[in-house]
Amino acid sequence: MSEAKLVKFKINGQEIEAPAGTMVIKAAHEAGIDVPHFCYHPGLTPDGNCRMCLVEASNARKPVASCVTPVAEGLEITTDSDTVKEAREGVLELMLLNHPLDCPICDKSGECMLQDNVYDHGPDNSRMTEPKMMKPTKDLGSTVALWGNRCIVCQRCTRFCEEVSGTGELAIIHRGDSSVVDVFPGYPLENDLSLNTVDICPVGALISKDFLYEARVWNMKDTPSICTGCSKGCNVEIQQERNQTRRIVPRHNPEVNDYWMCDEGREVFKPAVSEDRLLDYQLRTADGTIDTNPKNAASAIFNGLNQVSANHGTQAIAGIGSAFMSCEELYVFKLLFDGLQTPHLGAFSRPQREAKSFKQFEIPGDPNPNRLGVERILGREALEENLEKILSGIQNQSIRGALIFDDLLDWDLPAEWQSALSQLEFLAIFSLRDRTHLPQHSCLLPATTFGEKDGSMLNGEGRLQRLRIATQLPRTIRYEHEILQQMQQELGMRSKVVPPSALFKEMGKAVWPQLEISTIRELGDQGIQVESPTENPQRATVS
Amino acid sequence: MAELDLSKYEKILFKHVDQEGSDTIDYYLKHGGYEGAKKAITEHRPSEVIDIVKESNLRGRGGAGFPCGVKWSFVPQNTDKPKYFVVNADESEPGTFKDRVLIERDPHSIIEGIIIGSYAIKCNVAYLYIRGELVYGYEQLVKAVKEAYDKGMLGKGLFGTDYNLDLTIHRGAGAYICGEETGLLSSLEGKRGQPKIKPPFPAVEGLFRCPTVVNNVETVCNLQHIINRGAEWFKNIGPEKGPGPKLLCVSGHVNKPGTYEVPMGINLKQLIYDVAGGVWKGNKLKAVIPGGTSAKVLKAEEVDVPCDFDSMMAIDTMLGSGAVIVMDDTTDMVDALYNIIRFYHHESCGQCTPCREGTGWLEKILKRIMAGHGRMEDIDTMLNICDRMVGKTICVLADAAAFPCSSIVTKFRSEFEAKIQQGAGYDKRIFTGGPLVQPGAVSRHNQERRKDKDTPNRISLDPELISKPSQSKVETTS
Amino acid sequence: MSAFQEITQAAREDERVEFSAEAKKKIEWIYTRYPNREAALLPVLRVAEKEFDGIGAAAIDCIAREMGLSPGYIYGVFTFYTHYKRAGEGKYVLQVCATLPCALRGCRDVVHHLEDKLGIKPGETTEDGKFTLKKVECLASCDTAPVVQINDDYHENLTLEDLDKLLESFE
Repeated sequence: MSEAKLVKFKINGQEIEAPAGTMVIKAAHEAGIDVPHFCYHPGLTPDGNCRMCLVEASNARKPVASCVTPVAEGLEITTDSDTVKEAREGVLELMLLNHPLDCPICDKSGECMLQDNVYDHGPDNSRMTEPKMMKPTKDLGSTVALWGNRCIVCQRCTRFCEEVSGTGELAIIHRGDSSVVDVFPGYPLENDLSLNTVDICPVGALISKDFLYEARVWNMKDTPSICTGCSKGCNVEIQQERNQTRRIVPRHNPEVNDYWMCDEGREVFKPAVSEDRLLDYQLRTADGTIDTNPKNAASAIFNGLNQVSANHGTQAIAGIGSAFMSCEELYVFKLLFDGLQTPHLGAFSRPQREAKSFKQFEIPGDPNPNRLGVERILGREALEENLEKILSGIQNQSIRGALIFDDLLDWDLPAEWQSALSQLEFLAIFSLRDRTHLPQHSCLLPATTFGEKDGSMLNGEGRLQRLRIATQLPRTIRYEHEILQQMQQELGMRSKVVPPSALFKEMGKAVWPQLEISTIRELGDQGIQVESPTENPQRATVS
Repeated sequence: MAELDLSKYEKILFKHVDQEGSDTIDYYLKHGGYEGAKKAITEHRPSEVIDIVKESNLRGRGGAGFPCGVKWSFVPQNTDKPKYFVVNADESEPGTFKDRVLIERDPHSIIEGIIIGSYAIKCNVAYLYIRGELVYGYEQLVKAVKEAYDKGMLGKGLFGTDYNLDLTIHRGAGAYICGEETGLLSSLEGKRGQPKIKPPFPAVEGLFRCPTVVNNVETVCNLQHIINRGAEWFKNIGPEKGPGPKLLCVSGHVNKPGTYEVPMGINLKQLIYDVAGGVWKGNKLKAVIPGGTSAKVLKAEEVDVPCDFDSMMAIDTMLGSGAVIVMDDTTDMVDALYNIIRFYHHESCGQCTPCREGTGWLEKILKRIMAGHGRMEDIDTMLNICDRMVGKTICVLADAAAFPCSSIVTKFRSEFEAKIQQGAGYDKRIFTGGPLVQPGAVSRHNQERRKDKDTPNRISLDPELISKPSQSKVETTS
Repeated sequence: MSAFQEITQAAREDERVEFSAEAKKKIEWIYTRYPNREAALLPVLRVAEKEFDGIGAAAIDCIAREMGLSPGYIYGVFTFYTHYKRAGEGKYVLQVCATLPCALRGCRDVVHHLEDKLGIKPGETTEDGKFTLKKVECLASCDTAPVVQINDDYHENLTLEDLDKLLESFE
């Protein structure tokens, strides 16, 4: 497609340039001029129904809806005239007529567009004294509930179901002021993108049942990060209150997920706040007692592995990482086992599933957030070939000690691995869950998970993206990369423990030397495409 | 104003409607039917037909009065997309019943007009959208279309040329808004009849996103006569800028209500008193709505005005669809306005906020005034609501509701004031709470609620939900 | 699976209806008149209206399967239009025009008369399922007001005596 021609026009006297065909509201927002709106959403086709974004245009007698008015050469737009202000106030007064104003008990309160717009542009009271319309409050499906009274019929959700998910469950039913969004009985809103309708609902009409009454949005702090639910790596905002993640919402990234994310991804923080999360270190010492001091974790593992290595040779130890570790963790992991002089380096990954394709959104079949990172850093064979070798090595007793990562959310070790691992002389395992079924002689170490790590991950399309810390680790837990680095120290490979940003620098030089990424900050909020998604580059592994 | 001598006027559109068998193709062919279409297709190029119609100054009869030929000329000539010709027979403006006569009594004249219009814009598919209530009209049209196909007036190779045309009769299902051009197209596409944003205008991007012309039934019925007799002849009927025969529907308090074919520009007074037999029961005239309920009302002293698009516009009302609703001096204007607003509230599609909420609010206020609980400030509130509705929406339904409201309230303000004073049996010091402040009114109100609950097309008003905060419960059934 | 799904899916299986062969043929013909299937929805709803004597959830479900559209979409379209016969409405649907021209010529008396006579309010159906009374907006027959549309037919210039006779003829 050729570049659209640029046209010059004015908003409030300010000269602006935008490609022909851009809608006025978009151009205004990009120029930092506020145009209040409800039904307009940059990810959906404009509909022009809420009439909130009315502005004056030099080519029309009446105020026009700026979301459906394309810019034109020489057009003059006014967004702050008295006519516009009066129109906005009028629309808002009418919009509030049948709105229940139940903000104190509404989940949307604090991030409600109606609340914000009325505060900025609306009337201070209503002249209507008659009873309001009543509309149903009900379930729309297993994830979303409807508060019909709050609905302002902007049709964002129905457009989403038509244009993005293509599933068409939601429809506006009835007409006039009886209109309300609903599903057809027996065909509930059940698709893997359903919760996006809650995000885009400008008011509290569609509410996530999972988040219902969980938190007030103004109490939550946002941290930009990425979802680690699958290889898509959707950009998200992690919202936490009192160091507990409450909700994950998608963050705009046109290269990855646009404005959306799947429902499953929103559950990715659940293991971190789960009740059966492993919080204590259980380090079995030589005399059979259990040491819980995290400071001793590195030396316990190191000594254990060293013992095996001394008894059976360096080839008798193995390391198994996972496709849920960050690139930095994988990098240290790789260096450590290179230092331990063992070729047995593998990585667990969740099995492939069926990819799901929606009209404008794909949920990939690979449920591992950093599979590509594993391939680049540990080598492609780590995920299958090496794992098989390690399994048979353990089974034929040639491998006698191992350090493994079991931080793959809800994934459980397959049965053959469980029985194989119990044959080991020494086993250290980083896990999210308290595993009572593990061999008695193991070191059990709590793993860190989503929202707790700093670092980077390489998504399925070859985009390197930043993970950020949203919630502080429980006090009893240390970062895996710290423990791995301490082990490196014991080997004499590293002088001091460094943060992930420093690891990133080392790793960037080693893994992607051609890219000249020097600091993790350069990844920014949108990540960097380090590999072309289509081509199959030479495997670059740490040498 | 000078009265027209109607005895000399030769009927054009209604020439045959009173005759036995006028709805059959045999009758129609015997009386010169399909000659205009034949002439247009065999003797003129499409562009010539557009020129002739442009020259004739034929203006659309649906309500807006847009020049028909000009509308056609907006259709892009060089496009790969199919084009569509759509005839609007969704006659639902209150007081309008002119197209129904043509549909039921002279369906072939519509088909002939469709052939000419379709040929002019070079399209091969035409639709006629008829409102769902007119079952007999629908059957008549289906019969006529079948006859026309059988005789080769529709289908492949019309009149021995290589011009093909398919016509489908599409039945609506009860929605006033589908009479609006783009609402009609949405409905024809199988969607909710919500009007679309303009621009792009239908002539550029209409039905199925292809160039589309939408014309009223009465408009297309003029075409064959223009082709047959020439633009000059047509221009001599009535005012030059908007000439031609006009079907005017007179209803309400007159002795002889009905649809009358008159030349454009007939005096409204003459129409009411001579043609329609004057106000009934010997009563005095109080008010006239000249162009369907969407038009601004005229007081009795304002009716001495020619019925044509421009003259009506000059006195700040409109000829619209030509629906003249006459009200005598016994009419309660508050009640009349309540009736009008209830109609628009019922028919608002619910897309744009000002219309969706504004019509409902106006109805609630008027209902309250009617029930004797009005307040003086209601009058200005209503005028202000009208202000906030006009020109703020995608289509003109909000304007159509606001115009009669603002004009009736302004012109008959004293009636509203009297009504409010009569019913002022409540404590005026309390401004909120409305009619609820009066003892006894509470139970009445609850009755209203229960009544609303049982009315279809209204989401149930569950009294339990009203008394409790609705948020406390998530129902598990629909 | 939520309770919501369990209840309604079971109901759906119970009430499932299908178009007759004749209706299917008609629908196939309707498809040929429009460039896409969606556009055939209004005419197909008319077919269903006749086929199932009023449109209810089962009919919408059937149409959705027939046309390959989402039931939610059809539900939205169907509820927009008021003229389709709803499932559960009486054998005779009395639609009294209540808009201004009819109101000026006494439609209110007609409504009140029918209310008294049938013992139901507008929007209700008599207990024997024979009559449904509806107040509707303009029927485009203002010159012959007051007008009542009973099923497909218009009854114009009605007096209360005419109305009584008419109702009796249905009994």
